[in-house]
Amino acid sequence: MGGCDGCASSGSCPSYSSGDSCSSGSCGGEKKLPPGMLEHYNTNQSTADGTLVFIEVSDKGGVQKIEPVSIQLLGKASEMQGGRIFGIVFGGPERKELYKEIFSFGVDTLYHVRDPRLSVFHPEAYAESVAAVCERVIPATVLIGSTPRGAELAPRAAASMGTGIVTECSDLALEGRKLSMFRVSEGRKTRYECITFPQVATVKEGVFPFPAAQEGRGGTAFYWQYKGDGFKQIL
Amino acid sequence: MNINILATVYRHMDYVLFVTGGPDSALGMLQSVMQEGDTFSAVAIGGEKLDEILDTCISAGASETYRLMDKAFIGSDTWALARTYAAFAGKYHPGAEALIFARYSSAMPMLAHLIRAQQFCYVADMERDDLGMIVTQDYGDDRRRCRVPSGSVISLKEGVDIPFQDKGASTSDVRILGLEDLELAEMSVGSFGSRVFEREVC
Repeated sequence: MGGCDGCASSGSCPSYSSGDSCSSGSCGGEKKLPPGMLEHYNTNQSTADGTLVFIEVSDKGGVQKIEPVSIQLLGKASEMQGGRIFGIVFGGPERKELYKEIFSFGVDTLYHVRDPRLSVFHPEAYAESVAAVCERVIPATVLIGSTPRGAELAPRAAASMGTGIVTECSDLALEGRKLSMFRVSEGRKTRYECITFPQVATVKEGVFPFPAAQEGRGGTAFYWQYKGDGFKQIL
Repeated sequence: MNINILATVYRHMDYVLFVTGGPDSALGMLQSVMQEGDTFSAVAIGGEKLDEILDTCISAGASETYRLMDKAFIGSDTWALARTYAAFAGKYHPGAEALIFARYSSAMPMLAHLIRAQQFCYVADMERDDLGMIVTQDYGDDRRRCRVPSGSVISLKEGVDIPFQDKGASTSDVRILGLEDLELAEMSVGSFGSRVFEREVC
């Protein structure tokens, strides 16, 4: 099915000439296909689905704490109902203590980039890992808190995935897998769209409310190994 | 008898300053690390009104100034902007010691990725020793000093106030570079090369 070599070489197939794949086999053109079938079998469309949220953790005085904006983004991701919610967290084995809390805010699958060196922020390594996890799960949306570290990470992660970014969004809305990202600038609210997947957005703390934790909610955690060398020489 | 001679080889460093806001503090910081024989170039992207700011850079010691301007650049999002910066850095200053942004912009980490360089945001201080540059990053809740590899991309923390010394250098011509000078394809920059689009004003 779908080879259509005969009509491709003759150039007579309207689907071939328009760059779409022909799914009829006999290649009589899209007019002979049942309605919607060509779209259904369009192998060129992205399969991106779900939302990946960067779970930022601060270590202050030996106490690790999830940044409030990360929890707020998890709440928004749950509210938008855009498929599975993936989380990505960085640090050593001590991060395991946070799993329950992370799952309670809606994460279905958590990727823990487990390396004690990554308890400290290394934007190159973080961005590479976000891109690698995105390559695995193919999310439609990536949400990152607009903290100093998040604002530094997000554009580099977006660039490493060859996609665009809208920073400091004031609201987000999902239609299917398409994310509308709103920004307010000089009193003007503007809606932005990204034409590539994943759609990366950053949001400041306090834009979205805190969600209620669902006690006892579970999820799946994967350890992810960072094999790169994107570490800074911190003196 | 083997004699090992250890010598510090002094090398002249070339810096590039991207004018993405008021450059005064960036000029002051650059002057604090520059040594005799070092050079820096200033580059801005946009219209003629930026020439005045570039003139300020010349008076602070910039050896060259560039303005990236082409109608093809209009409508660029940060991704397309970063590609433009990367093309400039690759063609005109491939061996720069550091690419410095006067102010943080999302294009800065994107550029760092595109040229495979390390990035240092929120830089509040720069020093130099025999091995190269060291910066102090200020994340608000944490400060850290990092060694900066050659070719890294740096952006300064907002609010850092370091006055620069006007060296009284005479005004020279700003070099205007367009799409062809940067050897970029039209479809890779501006609105064609962008990933994000403004859809409507609500």
